[in-house]
Amino acid sequence: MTGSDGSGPALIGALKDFNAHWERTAAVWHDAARARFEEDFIRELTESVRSAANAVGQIEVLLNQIRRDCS
Amino acid sequence: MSQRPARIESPEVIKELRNRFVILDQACRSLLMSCYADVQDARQQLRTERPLFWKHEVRRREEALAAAKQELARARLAAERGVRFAGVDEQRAVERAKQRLEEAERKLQAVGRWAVLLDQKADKLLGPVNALLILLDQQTPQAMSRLDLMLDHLEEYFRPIPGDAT
Repeated sequence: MTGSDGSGPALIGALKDFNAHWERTAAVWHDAARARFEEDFIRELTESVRSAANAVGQIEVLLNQIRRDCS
Repeated sequence: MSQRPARIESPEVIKELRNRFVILDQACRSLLMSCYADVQDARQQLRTERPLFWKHEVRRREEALAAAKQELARARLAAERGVRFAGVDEQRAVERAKQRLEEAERKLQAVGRWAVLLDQKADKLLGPVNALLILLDQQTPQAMSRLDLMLDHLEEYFRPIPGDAT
């Protein structure tokens, strides 16, 4: 069985990179369009990535346990 | 689109954001698909390769135990005939063979148990993974369209007016 060790943290890392860039845009882009973009896309995406990263982490723990028990 | 003037210093900001969005989308998809593949791989192995392996090991270790017991019986027989009893090693070999057989039996049981448990748990845990993939399928194209539209407007706004030297 192959491993997917670290996919959860990698997802969080990718999200952090994106969010850091998003925050930097605030200095040069500050209008209603930005606020609406955040409301329509960024917030839900952030929550969904965090939730998926948590699930992926639990899956990795589960698969590691299976590897230990069945190998 | 807001009817108020855009407060943005350059279209490059939107271009870079668009790039970053695509990178995030691709990173998420790649990691999630890898997670899916690992779960599918584990399911497949628990249904096919692992049970076969451990069934084979149980048989092999049963045979090894039987052989070890035979060796012990031979040693005991030799002792009864007056040959110096040298059954200590043979007794240890039997114990080791028993332990190895018990281990294989435990592993075989674990494989069966995990095959059922993984199906139950993975379906629940893959829920948020599915949700993110669906969200990316729906929202990434929408976000790209919105940013592309903004870029069109901004490039028009920032385009130098012919003859305007300022």
